[in-house]
Amino acid sequence: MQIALFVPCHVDQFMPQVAEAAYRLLRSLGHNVVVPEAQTCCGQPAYNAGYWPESRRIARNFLRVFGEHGTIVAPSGSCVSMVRTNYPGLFAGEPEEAAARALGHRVHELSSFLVDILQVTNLGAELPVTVTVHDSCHALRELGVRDQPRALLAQVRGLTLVEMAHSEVCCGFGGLFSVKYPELSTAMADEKLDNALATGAQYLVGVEASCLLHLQGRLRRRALPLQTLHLAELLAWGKGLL
Amino acid sequence: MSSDVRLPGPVPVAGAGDLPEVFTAALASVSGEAFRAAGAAEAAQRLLEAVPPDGRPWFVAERELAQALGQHLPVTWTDRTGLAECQVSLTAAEWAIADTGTVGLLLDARQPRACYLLPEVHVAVCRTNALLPTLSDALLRLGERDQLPTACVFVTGPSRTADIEKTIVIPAHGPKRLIAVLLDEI
Amino acid sequence: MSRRQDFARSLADLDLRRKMAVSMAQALGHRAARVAETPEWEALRDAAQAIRAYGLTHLDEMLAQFRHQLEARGARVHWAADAEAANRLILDVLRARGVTRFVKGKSMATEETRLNEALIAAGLDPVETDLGEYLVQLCGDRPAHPTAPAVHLSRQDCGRLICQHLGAPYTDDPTTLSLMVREDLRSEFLRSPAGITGANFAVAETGTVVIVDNEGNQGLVSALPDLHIALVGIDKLIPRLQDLGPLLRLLARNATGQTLTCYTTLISGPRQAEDADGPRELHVILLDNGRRAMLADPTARQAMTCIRCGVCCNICPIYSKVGGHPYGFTYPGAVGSIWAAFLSADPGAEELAHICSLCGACSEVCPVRNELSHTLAAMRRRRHRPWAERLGMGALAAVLARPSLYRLGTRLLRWAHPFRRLGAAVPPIRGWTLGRELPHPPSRSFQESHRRWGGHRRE
Repeated sequence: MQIALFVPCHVDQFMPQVAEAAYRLLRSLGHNVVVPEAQTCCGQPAYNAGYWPESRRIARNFLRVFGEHGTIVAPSGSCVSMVRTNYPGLFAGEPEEAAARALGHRVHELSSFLVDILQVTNLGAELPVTVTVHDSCHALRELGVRDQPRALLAQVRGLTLVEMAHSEVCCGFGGLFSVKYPELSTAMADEKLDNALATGAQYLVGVEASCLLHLQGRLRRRALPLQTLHLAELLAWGKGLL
Repeated sequence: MSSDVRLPGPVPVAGAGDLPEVFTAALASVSGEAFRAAGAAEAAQRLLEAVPPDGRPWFVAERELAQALGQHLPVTWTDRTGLAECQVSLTAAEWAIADTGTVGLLLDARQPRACYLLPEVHVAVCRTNALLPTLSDALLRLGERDQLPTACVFVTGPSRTADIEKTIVIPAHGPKRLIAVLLDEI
Repeated sequence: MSRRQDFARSLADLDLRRKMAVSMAQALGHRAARVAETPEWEALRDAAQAIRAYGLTHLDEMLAQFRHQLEARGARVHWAADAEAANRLILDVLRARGVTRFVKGKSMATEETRLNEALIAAGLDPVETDLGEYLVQLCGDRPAHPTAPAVHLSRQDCGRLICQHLGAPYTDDPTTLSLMVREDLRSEFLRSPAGITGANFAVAETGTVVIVDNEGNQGLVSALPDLHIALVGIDKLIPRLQDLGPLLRLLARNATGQTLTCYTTLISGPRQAEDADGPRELHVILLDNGRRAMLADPTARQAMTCIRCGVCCNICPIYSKVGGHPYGFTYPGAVGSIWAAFLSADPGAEELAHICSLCGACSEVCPVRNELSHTLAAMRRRRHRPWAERLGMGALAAVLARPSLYRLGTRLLRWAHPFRRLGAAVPPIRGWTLGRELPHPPSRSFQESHRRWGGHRRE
């Protein structure tokens, strides 16, 4: 199948290896993956901060770029949820409303695309590491992504998953919130990291690069013996693709 | 209500079970006590064992169920002016609710508003056949009455507070004990 | 002024953090046990949501019916447009009857109108009878939680407050302290000429004021004095008596993890000729104070369906760390941050919609299925935007809306990265680096690599 890879702006800029991993994983499954050239951002940062006209300007570019594509996959729950959950409201009463609604049904978060749509859990990956999982809020609550990453991890040979306490509690990123209220944001990150550390895991795995960027920033500041890893990276690594 | 109303009907409860058993267990879980008796004499006997009279008078509501039990009790009765000083208040519950271990009391001429709150022990007598599965069932019956009493109360256990570090303390401002008596026959 | 510092201050109070963590975990644990044993949970939420949604479109009809029913039984029903009007009405009723010292039941509506302050300023002497409120009154504080007002106080705090007030030797045993307060207040109840309460619900069909509590004080406040005044927000109206079924079952299970509170008191009028006791006069004051404005706002109106269980506080990763005080508004947590925009006299309260990571944990548990985090995100379109932020967001949108500028931006970011320390004064970067290291952008973005090498070269 032809799959358009939606690379969220923060992934493109700061974690290109996550997009690379998603790209290679999907190709390894025999799919034709295209990366639409003119993509930038889904408009979520502006939307969540209350700047809807600005968000629409960005989202219009997204609609132009991805409007022609049938199946769209992104290694991010939050950006997928932006398109799926928030575009209809953002474009309510605008000429693009119908197109925005239709697009929502065609865009998928990577782990849920693999498990729910392609019905693949065993990617043939092998990685002798101990990991714990952070459930990202929008992937979890807007898209119902909870079991899918775990199903994929369970099939990675040699991997041990140790669940952390309160894996479903927010890590404190929240877009602009993280820089407007840094004390709250980092206090939330600390709880997440302390829970992750308590599992003894080497890697804190998630499906959301933005959470991981924030947690990584905090980890480095605190010099903690833990690393963040996007699920796509882990799978591609375990498959020898990275 | 207007005709465009799309208000929901009662929410059915899965498997109500044996109502007296469910009621007793639910009440016990909130530190209340309950027993079932075949008749008033037996109920009075059990009640005296549960609450030995200490010389202070008892308040007995002017309702058939309360009076039936009261007749068998070797205690002095007081009227509502003595509520603050009496040992026990004997009231009649209109319904008992199994799901939550609750008794529903109508408060009116024959059962004053303060009667279930001021004494140390509150005893509510209810007919076993007035046991209902949930609060919703009791509310439906209350709504069916021609005239709503100016006050009624649903009581679920003795009064409590948990305002200091979430430590449960019984009693708070109301009774220390709540005893529900399920009476098969008067 | 930003509330950021208020939140930061509470965060730094590690004693508060510990108390909050214990209390919130306990409340959520009890709630989870109730959810697990209630197979019809989702059906109850559906019913509750439908009942409360009905109120959004039938408010005037319900208010008229409620008033008619209550007045037919001799109660007086008043309207209060705002907090000041409500306090004035209450003061007038109390003064006309020569009341000075009187008892009060726990009521968030009276907290909202700051009734106690108004009455004390007028020379009256309200006595809070709920233990939590009693403690909050003793320390001259405000409730820190909608259902557990003294959640921020330790047993030692409580011990000092109560023992000092009653002139008793110090103890911090919760049982002893609670019994001391019971003793102290019993005589207040018996001699009080008036009682003031709020209401948890107001039933239109029957003209019934519904009050729930555990301590028994609400029953005493509303039954013993000769005068009962209930201050009721117009959001409390529900259509039918039977609607209390699902609402009450959800309220207690969510709030405290009880199946039902100890007392659910239904009051449908003052003492009638045939009644044995009860107040001779019942005044019900229906309070607007911004509620109609909220109802008229398509974004926020859903929040009017709140039943004040407080679960959106308990589950909130922010509230559960700091408690209610830094919010600076009567109703904390997610739903309170919506209400604040309409009910608070402080224009700065609009900021509260931004003090949320939009995690959505609250929406997931709300008994009436309020889309709280979506509403908060949508409310951010209102005011409260610093000019620098507006400028920055406009620039960001201009770049992200144009692929060519985005490409240029990608280069600029990499070019600027070595000079990142110079950016430390820019608010977003300063905010990030306060507790976190900045991420390093790799030399090429994904799209740059892809453009350069294409898909085939890399495998």
